[in-house]
Amino acid sequence: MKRRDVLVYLVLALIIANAAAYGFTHYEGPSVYGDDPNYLYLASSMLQGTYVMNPGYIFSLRVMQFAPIAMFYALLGVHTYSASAWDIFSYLGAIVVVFLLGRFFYNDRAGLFAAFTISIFPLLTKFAVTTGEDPPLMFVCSLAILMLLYGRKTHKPKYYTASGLLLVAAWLISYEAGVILAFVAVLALFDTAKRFYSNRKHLSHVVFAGCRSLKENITKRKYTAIYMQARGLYTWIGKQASVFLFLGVVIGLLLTFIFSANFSNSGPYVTITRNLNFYSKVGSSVNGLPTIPTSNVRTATLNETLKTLGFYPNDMFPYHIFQLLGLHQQFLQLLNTIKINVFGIGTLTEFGVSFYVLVLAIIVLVLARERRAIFVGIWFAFMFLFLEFGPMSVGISLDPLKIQYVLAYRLGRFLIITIPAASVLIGMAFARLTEFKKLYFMIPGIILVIGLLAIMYFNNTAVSTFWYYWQYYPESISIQAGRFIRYDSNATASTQVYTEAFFNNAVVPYTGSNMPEYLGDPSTSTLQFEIDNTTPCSSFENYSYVIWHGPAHCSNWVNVFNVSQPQGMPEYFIEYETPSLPYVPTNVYYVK
Amino acid sequence: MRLSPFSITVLVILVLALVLFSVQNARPLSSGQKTTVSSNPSSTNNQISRIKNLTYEYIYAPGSSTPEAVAQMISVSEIKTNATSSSVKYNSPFGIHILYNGYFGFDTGKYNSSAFLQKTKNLYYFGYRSTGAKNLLVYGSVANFTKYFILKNTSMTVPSGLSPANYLQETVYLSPTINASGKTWYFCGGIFVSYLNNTHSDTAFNTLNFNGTDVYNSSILNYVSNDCTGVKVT
Repeated sequence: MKRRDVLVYLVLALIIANAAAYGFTHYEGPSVYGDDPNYLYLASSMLQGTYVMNPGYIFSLRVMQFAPIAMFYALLGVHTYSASAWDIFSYLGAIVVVFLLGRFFYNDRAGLFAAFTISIFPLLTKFAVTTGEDPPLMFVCSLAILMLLYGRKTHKPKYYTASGLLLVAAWLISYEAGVILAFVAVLALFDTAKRFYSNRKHLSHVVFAGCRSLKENITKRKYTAIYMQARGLYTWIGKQASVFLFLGVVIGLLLTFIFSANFSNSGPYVTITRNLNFYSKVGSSVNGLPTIPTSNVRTATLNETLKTLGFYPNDMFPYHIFQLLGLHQQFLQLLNTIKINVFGIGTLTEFGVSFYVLVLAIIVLVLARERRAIFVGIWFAFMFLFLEFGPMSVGISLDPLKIQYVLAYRLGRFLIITIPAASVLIGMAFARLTEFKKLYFMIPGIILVIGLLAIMYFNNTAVSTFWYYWQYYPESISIQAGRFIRYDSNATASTQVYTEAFFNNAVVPYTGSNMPEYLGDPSTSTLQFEIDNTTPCSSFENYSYVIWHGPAHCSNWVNVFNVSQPQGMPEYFIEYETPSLPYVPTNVYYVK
Repeated sequence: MRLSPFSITVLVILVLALVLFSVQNARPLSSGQKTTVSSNPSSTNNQISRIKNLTYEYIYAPGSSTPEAVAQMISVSEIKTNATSSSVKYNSPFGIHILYNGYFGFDTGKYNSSAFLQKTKNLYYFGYRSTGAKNLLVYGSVANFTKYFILKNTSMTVPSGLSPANYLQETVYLSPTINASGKTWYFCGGIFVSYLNNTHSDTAFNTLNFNGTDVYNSSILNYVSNDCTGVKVT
């Protein structure tokens, strides 16, 4: 290996080590988002042999999300880190994939810049330590694209097959993989059309000659010749490496159908039928913007429609720079405000400066007329535009003839699927900025890149620290209450435990022992969720325990433990969050 | 003979297709509604293994024929009557048991702190549909239910041996009136989940009239199990 290569791999190893250090010190298990506990529950049920693929329970279709978690459970035991391991693995894997993509399109330096960028991409670092499906989806999709690119370059069937299999795997993580499937389908059509066009004379000759001789052979009943012709066609198709992409998809789907036939209560094709018919939260909104913007398009005015299209851009560019400038602050004051916004913990952004840097990178690449960035640019644009304008459903009815076009369900975190392409673009732009020959260009270029990397790094530290505490906060309370009941009380595995619904996510589905790490083993039946102020006191069993956020609800409750402070949480954060998270302090009561 | 990668792949596909074919044959898909009448309480494992033949429907679509909501968390696992035979006499009450399975909670989107769940209210409800009807009809509300059946009692319990986080069993006792006699009635489990949320002000659902009660800012979700139970009223 050349010395230069050693250096490249050393830097890559450092980037991965830095990301791994973050991942392994910030793992959270299920975040406060509603989906996460489901994957843990399903991983548990898989290990217990009670798993059923059920179309009414959409998460049970996402096999490639919870089966790997089940594997990590089996390998590492049941704990928060094994619950998060699949996401952390995907995060680290994506860094390697992005490095390879950067190298594929540009050079080693672009690969390293891209790898570092994705390792500190705030939206990703926030979710990479949870059990959500977005980081694995992003990883598998980007790996599928990498394999596809290798296949196109080397014409080797193995890469195409791998890409096809990975595309199906992505589909089994979330229906959102449809975005990448659409991209690959468009690409495949384009490639095929291009090949046919460039070989049109030869092809038409072959096709016409083949048809003529086939006709002749049929009329003359030369069956051996027909067989030889068919065999020739078969061999010819077999030599087209790209056909293996399709075959990979077919194999992946067949495996999925066989799996579903065994585990589903609705037949083998449920992963296709249900994923294609999945509406989520029609009519709900985030930050005042509806998640499906055209659900009432007939009554919406143009202005409202345009406003709803700001859903992703609003998230991507969170700092309102123009409004800040409009405040006419003194320069130092302005700098201080920007500093607090960008590097202060507590600004509710998942995106940080990342997409500002991406815009800058795109400008650099356009100015440099960098042709090597075209594919990645199109990849990014396709992903983003699909999320922005793509359909969740195009319902066509014939009588009366109308098309009900429903835009795809939107959440900020869905943009994670665009991060690999965005990182490669940034990597290429940074590489371009550092390769000027003339000193008076080179020095500012290098300073700019180092400055941007530093801003991105510290911005990500602030953003990811905030979200880590924000997500871990409620969990830390439940953990303390759960551990008290498990280790320091008289409770046994059969003791009934009650918790209020909002402790769900932290205590839901861990398993592995009679009284698991926290609580809520689905196999123990000792945890009762969804009690609240209206639950009659008679429904609490005697000698049971209750995790409750306020004063005693019933007269026979004895306070045995009080969590006044979340553990592992800095003081400033507790002050920041309280009272918006109103369930501190939390008590454990013993029911006499 | 040396096989090319293409030939090997095609062979693999054929083998997998054969496996799929045989697996499918071994477990035939349900063809439409199935009538199950049973008076025997099933064991825990049996209950779990009988989670099957589920479908989902949309019911609440104000001002539009397009689906406005779909439940994504909860399914109806099982429905059966405790009648000793498949027919009951009018005026003699019978019970229907519905086993719900799923994760009882919500994905409330982006800023779903746990505190958010306090604003969630789940309503589990039972309904019926007559043969060939498309939608579930809710007793006492949409359909003229009391003309045919009188609701005696309902109870919601956690079936013994199953996790309360994931299973609920509803038992409904109904007494058929004389108007119901001479017909076979199909009872299907139904779930309505109403999501109350006062932080989202601009939802498509401002008011929901449910059993005569207005529910604000809610989306309502409905499930009907395909595995209905049929009762002939004589």
